[in-house]
Amino acid sequence: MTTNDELTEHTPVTAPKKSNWGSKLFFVTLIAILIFFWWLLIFSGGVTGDHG
Amino acid sequence: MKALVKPLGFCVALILAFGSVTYMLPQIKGEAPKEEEVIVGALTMDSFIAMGEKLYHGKGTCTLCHNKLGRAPDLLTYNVVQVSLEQIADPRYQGKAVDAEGYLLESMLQPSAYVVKGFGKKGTNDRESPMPAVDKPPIQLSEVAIGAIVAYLQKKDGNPVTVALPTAAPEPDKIDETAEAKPALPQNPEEVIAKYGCAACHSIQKTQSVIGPSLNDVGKRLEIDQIRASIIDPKAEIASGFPPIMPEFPAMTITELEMVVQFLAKQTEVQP
Amino acid sequence: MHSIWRLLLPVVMVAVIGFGSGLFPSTTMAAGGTAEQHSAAINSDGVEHESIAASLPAPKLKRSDYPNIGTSSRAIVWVVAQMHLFFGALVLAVPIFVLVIELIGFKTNDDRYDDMAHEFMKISLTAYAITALFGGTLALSLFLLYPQFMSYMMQAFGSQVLVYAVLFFLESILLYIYYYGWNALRYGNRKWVHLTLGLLLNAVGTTLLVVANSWSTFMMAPSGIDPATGAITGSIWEIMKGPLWNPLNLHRFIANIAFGGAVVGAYAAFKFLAARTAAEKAHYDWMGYTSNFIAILAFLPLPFAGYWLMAEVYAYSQQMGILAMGGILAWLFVIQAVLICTILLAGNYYLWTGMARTEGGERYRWLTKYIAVVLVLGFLVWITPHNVIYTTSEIARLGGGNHPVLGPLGIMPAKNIAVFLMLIVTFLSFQLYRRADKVITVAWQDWGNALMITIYVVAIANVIFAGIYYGYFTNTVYKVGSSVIQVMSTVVVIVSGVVIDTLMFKGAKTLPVFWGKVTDRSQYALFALPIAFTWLMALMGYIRSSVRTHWHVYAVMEDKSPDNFIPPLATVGNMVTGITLLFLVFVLFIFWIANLSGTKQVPPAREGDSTLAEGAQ
Repeated sequence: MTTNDELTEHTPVTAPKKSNWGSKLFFVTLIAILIFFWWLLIFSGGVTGDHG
Repeated sequence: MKALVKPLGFCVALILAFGSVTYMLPQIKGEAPKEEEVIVGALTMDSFIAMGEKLYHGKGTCTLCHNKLGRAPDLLTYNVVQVSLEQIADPRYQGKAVDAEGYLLESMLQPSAYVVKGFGKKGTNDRESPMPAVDKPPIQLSEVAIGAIVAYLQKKDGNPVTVALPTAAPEPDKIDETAEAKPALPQNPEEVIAKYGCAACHSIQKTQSVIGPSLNDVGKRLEIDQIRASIIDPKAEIASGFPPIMPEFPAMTITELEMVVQFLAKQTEVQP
Repeated sequence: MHSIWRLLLPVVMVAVIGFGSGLFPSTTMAAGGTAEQHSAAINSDGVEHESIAASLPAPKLKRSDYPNIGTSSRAIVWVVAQMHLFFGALVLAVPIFVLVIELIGFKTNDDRYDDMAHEFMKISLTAYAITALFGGTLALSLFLLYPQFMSYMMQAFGSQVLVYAVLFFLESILLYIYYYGWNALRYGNRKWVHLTLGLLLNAVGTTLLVVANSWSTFMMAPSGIDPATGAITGSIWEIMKGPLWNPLNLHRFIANIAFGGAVVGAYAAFKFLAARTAAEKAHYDWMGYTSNFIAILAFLPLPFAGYWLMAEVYAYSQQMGILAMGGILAWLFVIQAVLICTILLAGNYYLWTGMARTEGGERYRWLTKYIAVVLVLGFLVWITPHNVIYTTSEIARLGGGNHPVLGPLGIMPAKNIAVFLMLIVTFLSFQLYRRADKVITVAWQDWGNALMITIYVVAIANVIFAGIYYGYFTNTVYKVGSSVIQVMSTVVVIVSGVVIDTLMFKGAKTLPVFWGKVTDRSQYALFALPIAFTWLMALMGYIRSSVRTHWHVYAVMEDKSPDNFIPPLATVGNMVTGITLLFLVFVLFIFWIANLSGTKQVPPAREGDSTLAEGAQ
């Protein structure tokens, strides 16, 4: 994939370092969201589904 | 646009076709249970039993489960009194009834006291009944109604009716419990607020709403006469920025009005 | 780049921390009311938690307490609520599969996917405005027409109001950035940022969904209350997490995706029929196929989610469950059968005609007629009612209340057999379609195919046997036992089909697929699908609402309004038909807007030049 981003370091001698913080951001967010939904739907403030 | 005509026609035709299916099926209207006033003093045993039969097939919703589909014993197909006595004699029986009337009453008020074999909730080994208690919502039968059904169940197989005919009470009994459940006149401002639904639009105490102005500081903003006027004639003056949708309360009594006005006049700070 | 990172990180952190820490406070009501009615409730963490809620029981109303605006309040709320739900479903669903398509495009470096995803979002944006419109109207009409009910609901859910408002702000912000920033955040790390925004958009949308679901499920199966008075005794969590909440969450989440796929499929079909160039036709044919794929794929697990929901309804109140499926509302499930069979027939038909796009499809054509037979027979069995209203002379001729042949077909076991067989053959159509453009080259293909065929045969035998045995030869209460075997068999077919084919397709020769090379007639399947889905959604929504019978909040707050009855079927049919037609009008508007935004008027000729005809593209 073309990395058309400005974070590429401009080092004339070595090849530009490909920084893929983007994919890390995506996966961190994904994990956070999954934890959030676990908290909301499964944990739900500690309520157990024990209804009359 | 021409490309639209045929697909649109197809879609409309299909929608109407689905709609027409509903015309081909039985048209049944499900009425809510009507409030029927029973003048207890005027009851005869025959009318009492007839009332029980009507309730069995109607408001009691018994036939929803007690039918031949097998979900609950079909009471109309066997001698209920005889079988009740047999159930009491069953070694598994741990309820408190000693006669058929007691057994039938127990089945209706505490269905899980004894569950006939094979009819319990799945996984409870016939220890828990799926039947709801008939004196509680949503069925909410009154004592008179329950007695009538027991009487009907006894009579239908030719057994003697042991249920006593209810005696005339000082006030007429109502089948649908509204007599017992009807709230007395509100005793305090909070009850007035609950009765007229103010919290739906106004923040008051701990409830929040953004539809109308907050009432938590109304005592600071308005004079007591203005508060009274806003309730009597809500359209006269609309707080700026709020929609003019506050209803009138023609049913509110003077006592209720004064109670809530005095209360609101004391609301002088915004609560967290 | 750094600035975007700096902007995004706090947003993500605030979202996570904010939701986690305190935007869901527990409802503790202020003290007030008669002292003797004070009650202490122990909630699930064992902490005694005083509530004055006992002094604010659920309102008990009389008919005269209800505002009367001269027309049926129920009808108004019905129409507005259903329209809000339609568009809400669309707005929540489209970003889900748009994100997936965008990811696929990113991974395969295929611009077509990215462009299609972007085009789908255009539809979502207009739909969003309409959702908000109907949402506001719904809130207004509920407060106006049912003030005491809303007062009670505010007592229960007041603490959610602020959260809901914040969620809507977030949804708007994310939606606009996601759509309008599409081309600016197109490649590399920026694309990952865009995908992250899409993730967040979906998260916020799904949160909105589950929060709103709690209001519906509370009305059906209230929790966190004193059953005797309806007074609120629990925290917002206890109120939200009733027995029906998660089943409804799952069902609506999946159903929304199926619905969204079906609606965008209609868009693609319309554009296909209106296309003038072969390239356009190819593009919209492919879009239609993708939409249908999404719709049918999401549709397949729906019966299981629906089953869970009904099972929980039965567990909560057997009365409510029986009312829905064995009592007065049971006839509605006959209509459901008609609608689902339409969906299955349309979906299958579209797949079969699609096989003509590739020369490899020819070898599977012989199977389609058998699949069609199963679908039609299944449909007939499914719509057979158990209790038909006979005349006395008919009963005399029958010799009883039930027809000897049709009677047994009318009960659940027969219908289960029919439904699961229909699902299995629908998956078969799927599988055949996916194989149509490939020539499999793996060495073990004969074994693989034999295994697949065996799995199908065994699954079908299981479904039939379990249905007959448990349905007709055991006690009624064990009927439910057959379902587990039938479900497992169907799931095994689907899962093994996907796995085996994925392995078998390795190194396969792909035959050319001629997108655009389908009949115009096939596009009508893509119209039938959303129409049936929409009608079905309105119907099931009505059932969900009606199963409360004469209760605003079941067994807690009685409905004493003039509309507190269950209307006859024709009335229901009229309402649902009208609402679906109204939805069609709005959807046409959305499609028109989407079309219009890509239209450029030709500039008029300058003075002196020959006049050019003005025209849209």
